[in-house]
Amino acid sequence: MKNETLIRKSTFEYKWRAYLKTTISYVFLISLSLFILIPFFVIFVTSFKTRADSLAIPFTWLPQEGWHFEGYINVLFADLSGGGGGASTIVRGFLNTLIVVVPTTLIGLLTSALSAYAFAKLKFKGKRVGFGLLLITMMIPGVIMLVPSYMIYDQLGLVDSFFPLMAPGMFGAAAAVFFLRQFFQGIPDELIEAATMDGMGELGVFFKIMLPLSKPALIAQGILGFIAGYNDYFGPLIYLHDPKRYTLQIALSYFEGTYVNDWPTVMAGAVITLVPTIIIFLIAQKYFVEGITMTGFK
Amino acid sequence: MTTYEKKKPIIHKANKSKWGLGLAIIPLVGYAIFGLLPLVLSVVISLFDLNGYRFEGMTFVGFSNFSSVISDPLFFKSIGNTLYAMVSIPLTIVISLLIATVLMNPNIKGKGIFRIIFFIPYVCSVVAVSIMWRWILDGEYGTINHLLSLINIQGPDWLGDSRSFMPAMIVMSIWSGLGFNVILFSAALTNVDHALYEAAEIDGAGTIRKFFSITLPAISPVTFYILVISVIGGLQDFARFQIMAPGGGPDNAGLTVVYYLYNAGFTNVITYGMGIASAVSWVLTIIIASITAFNFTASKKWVAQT
Repeated sequence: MKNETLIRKSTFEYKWRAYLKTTISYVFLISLSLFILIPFFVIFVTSFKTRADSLAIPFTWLPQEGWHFEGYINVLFADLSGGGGGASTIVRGFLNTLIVVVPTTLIGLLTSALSAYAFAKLKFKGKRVGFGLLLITMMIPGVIMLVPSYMIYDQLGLVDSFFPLMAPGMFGAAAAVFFLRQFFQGIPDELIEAATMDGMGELGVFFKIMLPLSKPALIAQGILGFIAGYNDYFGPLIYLHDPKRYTLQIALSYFEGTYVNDWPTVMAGAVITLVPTIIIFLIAQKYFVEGITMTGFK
Repeated sequence: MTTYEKKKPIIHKANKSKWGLGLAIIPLVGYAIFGLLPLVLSVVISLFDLNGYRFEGMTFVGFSNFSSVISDPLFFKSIGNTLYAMVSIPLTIVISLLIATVLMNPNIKGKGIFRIIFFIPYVCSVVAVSIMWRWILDGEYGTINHLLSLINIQGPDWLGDSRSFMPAMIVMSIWSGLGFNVILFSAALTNVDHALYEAAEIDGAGTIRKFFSITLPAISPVTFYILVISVIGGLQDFARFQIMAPGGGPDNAGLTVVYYLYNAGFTNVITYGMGIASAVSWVLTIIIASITAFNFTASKKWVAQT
């Protein structure tokens, strides 16, 4: 009898503690989520305010003068940075970004995959040394190349062109090679042997077996590469001077510097810039998780 | 059977090196052109005095670029600022580990949604995020000071005052960095051997004891990985400072080392020059290498060896 009440009491206590723990966990997670989300909400709302409304004190959580689209109209149609023959700065910036990033990402992905395939499945002399060198390149900070690279491009007349932003990435990235090599190693050798016996060459194996079987890994790397290129700021900041060639990020930072008092326009620009990557992330989130955890470990 | 035996050595031969080396070294060839060549040049440039961006008419000055960098109080200030901003690293690690731990609780619903929310800042452009935070931190119109005024606190002009500038940047950095760590910590936590917890429970260990004696040691390789890459990234922090602290910010409170380098090589190349900028990049590389080496040495004391 005594024992039973003791058990009942302890299960009650246990349940109560679990309940308390869950409640505290929710409070913790929800407050941090608000911390993350409120800044997004604020720029979203501000982008729909009128200029006067955006500068009202105190700050208001919703537009007081109704929802306005002037900011977006400005951003999407006006040639704010000039020199564009009337074409919209942000649209041109978006197109420039695609011109720079899409070919670079695709070609870089292919070269990274070819290299990863060789390191994972082919036998050749110098494999270990090559892989070691690749490891070392990842550890050298990029800033050290900045000054001499700029001078070389300047000497070659390539400053203010897309070349410095595109060419290096097309040779592949060490991090992507590591990630893809890991993935390729998981593909059974028997498959490759069978294909080789049927007379398939090494490149045939790569295109007809390795690539189709590695779609998730390739998508993961492709997306991470695209987003990094899309968001790149330092490279375009240094190399692009003519407003016609501004990428999206530079166009946006130009707005921010020039239209300091027109917050709805600046915020509309920020929202438009953020939307594509957030949508890509929401659609492809599992690839992000894979891409990050697999490059991070082992 | 006979054809198989005949073919096999040929396959083997073909497997050896026909394409292998050529394919494998594409990224290394790229690195040799776009990495190694500039790297070597960077040593040379750091020892010369240059005319703008031109190699013509450069004069050898020995280590004087280095000595003028090291004797510039502003450079030391930039190192101090960079290290100060890195206070965000331990804070981000602790908070993200807490989040990941809480997300392991089976009673919590909507884990996927929380993970998505924390991760969103990771995919956002630094320019847009800097614009966002500059607005939120604004002394007059900003959301943060509005929220503070609700509890009768008069917030400072966060980015306009040298004392409040860096704390604000640290909060922003935590905001950006949580999601990446949460993903890595979550993966690490799911990999911890459950038998260890059961054994500890039999020995009467409580939640906190289990966390410190089992969880922390088990995930230490991941913690170490996060620490190392955060430190390397933190020492090169630049873009958000360049956007949010034009001209270096109040009393140069926002001047980081890479920002100093950018000024030396690009905005003020006439006063500083590429030789100085190169010297700065080498000093920074030495700092990065020493701190990383220290991290690896210290790791023997606390990271579980696998």
